[in-house]
Amino acid sequence: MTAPLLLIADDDADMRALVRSTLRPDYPDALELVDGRELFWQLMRASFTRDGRERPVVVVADVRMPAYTGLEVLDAWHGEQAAVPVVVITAFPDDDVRTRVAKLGATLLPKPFTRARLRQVVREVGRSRRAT
Amino acid sequence: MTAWLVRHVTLVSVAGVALIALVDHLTGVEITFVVMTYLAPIAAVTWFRSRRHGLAVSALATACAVLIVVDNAGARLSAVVLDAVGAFGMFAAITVLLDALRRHVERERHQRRLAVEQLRHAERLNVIGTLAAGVAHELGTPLNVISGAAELIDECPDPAAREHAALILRQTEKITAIIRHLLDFGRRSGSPAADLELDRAVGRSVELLAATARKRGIQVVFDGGAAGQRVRASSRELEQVVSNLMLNGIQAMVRGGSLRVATGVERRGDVSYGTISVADEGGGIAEDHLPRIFDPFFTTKGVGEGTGLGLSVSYGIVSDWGGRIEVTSRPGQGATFVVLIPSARGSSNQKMQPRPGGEITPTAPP
Repeated sequence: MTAPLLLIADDDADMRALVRSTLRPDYPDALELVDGRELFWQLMRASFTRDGRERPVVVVADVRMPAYTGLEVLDAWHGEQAAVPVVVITAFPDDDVRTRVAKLGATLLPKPFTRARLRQVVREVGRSRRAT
Repeated sequence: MTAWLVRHVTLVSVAGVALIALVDHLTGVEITFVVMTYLAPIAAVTWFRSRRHGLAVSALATACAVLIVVDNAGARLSAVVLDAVGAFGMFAAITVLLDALRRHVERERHQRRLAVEQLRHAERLNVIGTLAAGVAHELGTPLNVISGAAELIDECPDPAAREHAALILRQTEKITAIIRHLLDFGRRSGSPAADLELDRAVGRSVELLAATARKRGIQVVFDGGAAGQRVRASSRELEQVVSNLMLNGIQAMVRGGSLRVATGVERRGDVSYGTISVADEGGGIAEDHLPRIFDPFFTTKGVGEGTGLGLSVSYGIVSDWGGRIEVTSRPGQGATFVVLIPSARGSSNQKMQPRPGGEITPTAPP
């Protein structure tokens, strides 16, 4: 079984690089996305592959991004498709963001986080989704 | 010219009275008219000086009028006395009335100035809060990248590099803590307000800090004088406010002493407040610092000791409850902070007692 594809959506290149390098041992395949629009289309593409097989996806997404925010994308996605394991990373979230993330069934990881914490949270999210 | 007239209003009024008397003496105009003319200087001196000055000029005017009556008509003594009493009575009544009016206007003006000042202060805090929240958000990502990179450096074998990485990590943690403070300040809608028993809530916070105070040779005295008083507040935030004020007091008392925390009930206008006062015996607050102590980032503590957000966060929390924080201080004699929180409805107010007035100055600068 191949490792799930990791989608990293954050408008900051250094941040994407940090997430990617941190999660490389667990997820060798990763796509970096720079805004909400790209995240949405990549989610679409990943779930409708040409050979009809779905490749499992794990998403690590920022909230504040150009075009659509991470939450808007997940909101739109949430209504349409089966649940995707999502970790929302955002700087100092307020209560509003917390409740929205919880409602979308995603996991919140506030920035700044340690690399160990990121690895742990993404691992937990990926595992719980595979089990269900 | 006007300013000069106002400054020397007593002198001008006396001169006016003398002039009227002189003109009357020379021309012999009818007495009622003369008495009416005296009102102008009397009114002027009452309005711009005080009731005392007004009454004094009234007495002078009465004397002038009586002398003229006696001089002109050679009237009977009883009539003269009657005239004098009548004239002085009218003068005095006008003086008292005008003085009351003037006090009323002055009070209104003072209150309006305070309200405007408080509004301006709240607005300033609000703007800074929004700004702070925005900046904090923008800082989150770079901060995360820095700490992440430092963690990577921390994995390399060179001990010197790891030491530096640890240093960077420590500093990013410090920045994170400051930003959290900032955000506490920017958004304070966190915990919902409930009806709290004031004495119990404050007593809990006092207990929490008593040990810290003892370590510094400070005795905390708690006087719960608001039995049964309930206020509408959030217990977590109330604890934050009280411990903020107490910590400030403790840090101000470098030579030890006692920190007095007291609760009470007070009525201001139509509103009943539960009060918490925190009085320290430290060095006090310099007069030019007083208007700024609730401003964000204003601190007199050493670098790294305080972020300068404690008081402004407390101020914001208490204003959210519809209350306020007032402070009095004389340099060298400590400072007293009083938190006023509107009473919860149905709170027992039997213990309502006026506080000795005049010693608490409003937080807003004049």
